[in-house]
Amino acid sequence: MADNIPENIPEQIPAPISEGVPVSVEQPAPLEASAIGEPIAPDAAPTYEQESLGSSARSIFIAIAGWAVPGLGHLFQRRIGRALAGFAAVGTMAVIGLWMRGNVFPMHSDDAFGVLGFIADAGSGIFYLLAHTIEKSGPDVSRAAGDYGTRLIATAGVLNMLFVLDALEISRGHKN
Amino acid sequence: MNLTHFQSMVLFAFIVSLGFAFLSRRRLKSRIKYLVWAFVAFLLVAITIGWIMYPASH
Repeated sequence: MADNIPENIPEQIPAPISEGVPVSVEQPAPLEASAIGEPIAPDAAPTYEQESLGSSARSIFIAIAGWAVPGLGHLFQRRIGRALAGFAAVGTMAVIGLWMRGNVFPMHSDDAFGVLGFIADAGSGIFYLLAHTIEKSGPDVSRAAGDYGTRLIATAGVLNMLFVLDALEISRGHKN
Repeated sequence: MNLTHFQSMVLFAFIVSLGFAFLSRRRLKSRIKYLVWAFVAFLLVAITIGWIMYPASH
């Protein structure tokens, strides 16, 4: 067998081990290791980074849900009272504002007040998106009631933003 | 729908007070107390400012 080995290939002969001398045998490294150097077992608890990432994704989801449907962010976290109060408060104010034919600001506006109005109105989520379905006649700010309605719609959006922030704080554990 | 200025103000004050009460208090009793307190405060401040501005309208 030794005659078949070509001469240009060096033989890999392990170093001689002297008897009586302890030799450390290296164990093979685990295939997967966490950031702190401990192997991950299949049923191990998630690391801090994984928990943080999952918590952030959940918080973003809750914020978007709470914006889209007022109170939904709290409902996902089993805060039934706040969920109902949020939906009732934002919904009542937005719908009455629309019935009073308040102005709903569009996304694109020329002046800064129009942009601010859009931000406030859009805060009410689904009520902003369904504004033209709820009140088909459109805005009429030539009457005083229409002007009051504009304020109610904007207030509904800002109030929903407060509920979204509250849901966000709860999901991050900063608030009960 | 037609609401007067005062009716709109009462509606605004009640709903915003309701929202604040649920956001800032946890127990039902303290929520009701805060709701009443904020509602009355909204109305009193608005009516006071209205009377302060009244001479300017004449």
